[in-house]
Amino acid sequence: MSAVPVLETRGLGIRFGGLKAVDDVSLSVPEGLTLGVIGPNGAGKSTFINLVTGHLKPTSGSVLVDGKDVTGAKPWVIAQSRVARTFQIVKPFRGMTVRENVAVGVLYGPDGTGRMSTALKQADEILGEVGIADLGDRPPGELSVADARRLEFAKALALKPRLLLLDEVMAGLRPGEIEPSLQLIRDLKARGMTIIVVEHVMKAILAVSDQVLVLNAGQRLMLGPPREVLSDPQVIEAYLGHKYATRQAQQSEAAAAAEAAEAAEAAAGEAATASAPHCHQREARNPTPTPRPALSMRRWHQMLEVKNVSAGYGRVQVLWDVDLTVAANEIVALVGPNGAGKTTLLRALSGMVPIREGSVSFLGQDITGRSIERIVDLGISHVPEGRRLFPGLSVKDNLRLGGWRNRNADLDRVIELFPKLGDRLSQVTGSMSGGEQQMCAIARGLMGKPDLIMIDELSLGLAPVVVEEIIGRLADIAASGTAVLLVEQDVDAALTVAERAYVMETGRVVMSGNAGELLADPRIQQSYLGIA
Amino acid sequence: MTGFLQATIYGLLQGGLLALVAVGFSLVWGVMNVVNLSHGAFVVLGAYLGWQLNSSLGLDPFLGMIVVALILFCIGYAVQRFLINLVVNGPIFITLLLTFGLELLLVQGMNIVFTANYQSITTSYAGNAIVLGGIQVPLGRLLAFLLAVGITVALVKVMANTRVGMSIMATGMDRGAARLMGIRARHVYALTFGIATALAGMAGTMVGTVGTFNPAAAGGFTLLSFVIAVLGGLGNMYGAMVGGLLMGLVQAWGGYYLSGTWVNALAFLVLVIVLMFRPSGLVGKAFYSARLEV
Repeated sequence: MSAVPVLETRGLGIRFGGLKAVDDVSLSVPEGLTLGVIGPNGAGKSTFINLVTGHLKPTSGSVLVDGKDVTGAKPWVIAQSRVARTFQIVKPFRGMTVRENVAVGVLYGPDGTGRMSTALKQADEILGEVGIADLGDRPPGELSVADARRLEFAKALALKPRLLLLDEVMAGLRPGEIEPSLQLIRDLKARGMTIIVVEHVMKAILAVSDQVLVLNAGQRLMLGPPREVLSDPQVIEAYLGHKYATRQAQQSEAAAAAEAAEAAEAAAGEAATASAPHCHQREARNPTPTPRPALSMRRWHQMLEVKNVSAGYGRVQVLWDVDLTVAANEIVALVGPNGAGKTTLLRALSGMVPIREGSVSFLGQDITGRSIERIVDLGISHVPEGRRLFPGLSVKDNLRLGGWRNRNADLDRVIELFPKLGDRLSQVTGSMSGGEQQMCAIARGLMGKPDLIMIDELSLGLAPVVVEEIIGRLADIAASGTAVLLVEQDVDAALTVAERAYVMETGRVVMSGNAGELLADPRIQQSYLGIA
Repeated sequence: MTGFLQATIYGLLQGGLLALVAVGFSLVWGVMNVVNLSHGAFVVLGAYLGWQLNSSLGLDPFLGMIVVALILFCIGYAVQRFLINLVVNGPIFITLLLTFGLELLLVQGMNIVFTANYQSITTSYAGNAIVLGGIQVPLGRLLAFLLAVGITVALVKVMANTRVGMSIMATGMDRGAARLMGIRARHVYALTFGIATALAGMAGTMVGTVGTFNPAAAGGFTLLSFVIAVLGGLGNMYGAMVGGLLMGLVQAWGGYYLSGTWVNALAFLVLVIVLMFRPSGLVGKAFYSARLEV
């Protein structure tokens, strides 16, 4: 190993307007290391890779490859210094065969001889290495998702890189396709290549990384050995919400205390005791609101019933065989790590993504394959990811558009729910804070008086206090007759307010049940972070 | 000096009419990201319909305009609903190709039905002029100008204050979000296109009363609409007004000082200069500018 690190960043950062996407990240990657880079949505992982490979120009700090300063150099200059990358969205040259795609990299790479015949031969060797030697003559458009990812690998390897940056190479793969992909990384590792892996699939990170870098809100949160990092309270907090880590700690303490007591008394019924402190806590935080009318009659009526639903985008299948129900007046949380398919499920339910298999029924009607507008008419409201308020329109106009369907212009009900909106009716939504925008989005979703409101990523980009304020209103919404299906990053907040919850992982529902019990279940942490 | 003032007045009057020619084009582009190459053909079709109503029924063109608007609204609605909606999600190249084909059909159709001869709609009063301090203001042009400005302002008001207008604006801003409000995007698109062709038709009838036209003029109107829409700010209805007036003035002044062929060169020079300093147009792009993903 040479003393000079293959990659070094010093105070690296970039601003997009007011947002610091990557902020003061210093890092040194010695030769032969495999570094995993993780972080919740919007942490700046892909941006970090783009900064290193010259696809974005840093606004502060520097990037050194082999001790040489390449800050702000063009991508092709950096590629010439044997830094190769893959792209999250595969980008093959469509008019060429698979072999030619790789040969281009060889031709123009640092070892390029300018001879097409040698380049094609080397391309075949590389295709053999990644296991798609037999597909050389095919156009890239015909490849399966997994093979297209392999082509991405091959294109990067064509540059004979010393440093390989892999951006989400497992995304969209079926569980069975992940292992061969991991094996490929291990092989390259064995050859001494330095690799940086950005990945949501924690199992993959655990399987190949020597060190893990955690980014959160653009900053370096932690760097260390995988298992150590993934069980760190700060990291758990970044992934699962601001109270989750402390709660876990309290619970394990309580459980330990309970065990001690049990040992002393030698009494039976340990299971009940272990979960007792938790239940108590839940009640304290979430006092049951006003009793819900006619609850007993409607309680068991499965208002929304999702059966074996599969869906996806283009050739990438995202959802596999999902089952889910929501009863009237119920609050149901849908949690799971990034890329689990939560947003896609909501989009499939509201008709924004076509359902490939399975069925969805709502209030006894089959709504599979219905248009978005029709589903809205039947009483499902969807507050989409990113809120998607109408920019340039006032809060009032946004709310009125929410009631467009049923000509509802009565704003009092939603203002009662979110009094802050009442003071801002004539303000243009773009100039409000994120929290107020989210309130406006939810209020807009309620204007159509839906029977079910689906809220996607309620807390994204919001401060914890604001999240608590908004989540606190969900019980009122449910009490007034609108069931809530909530997709939320802050697991603690979501499971505290919900009655039942579903945990999704790589497009499937892996756990479901009483929200309180799930909150105490260590498997949730495992599904987010790979280890419990 | 009188010559310059005369040119200025003429330019303003012509500019108001050009604004009405372009406003529908700008609306369609802004709301659904379709560059409608058949827009000019609808202008000419409006002129012919107004002419036909006038010559066979004796209907005054400024009244006939209303009938023309209704007919063209129906045609426009159907064209969008059953034709352009089929490819509206495709790449912009496809909609360009489709509307270009539509333009050819319309223009050749009009050549067959109305022949390629120049026509104009004659009234007893349009030729009269008010004379103010030596400057002639032709009555027909003044009427056309006032109506054009009035219609454009009314359109802006309708967009901002009515249920239909709100649904068009919302769909233009973010189609996916609008659909989540229960707004039928396909219907809204068809309405928008219908409104655009109705406006084009009315503009066409007025063009016919103040000058001559034939089917070959269609391409020129599309080009003018394009320039005016970009000049004023894409999708911005007041932008079309400002762009139209500026274009009218540039043409009039150019015609006053320069020889014929230089006038168009001057018009495009103005476009280039404006875009160099204000890339999103004089008034600015409409805040709704076609977010199309679901």
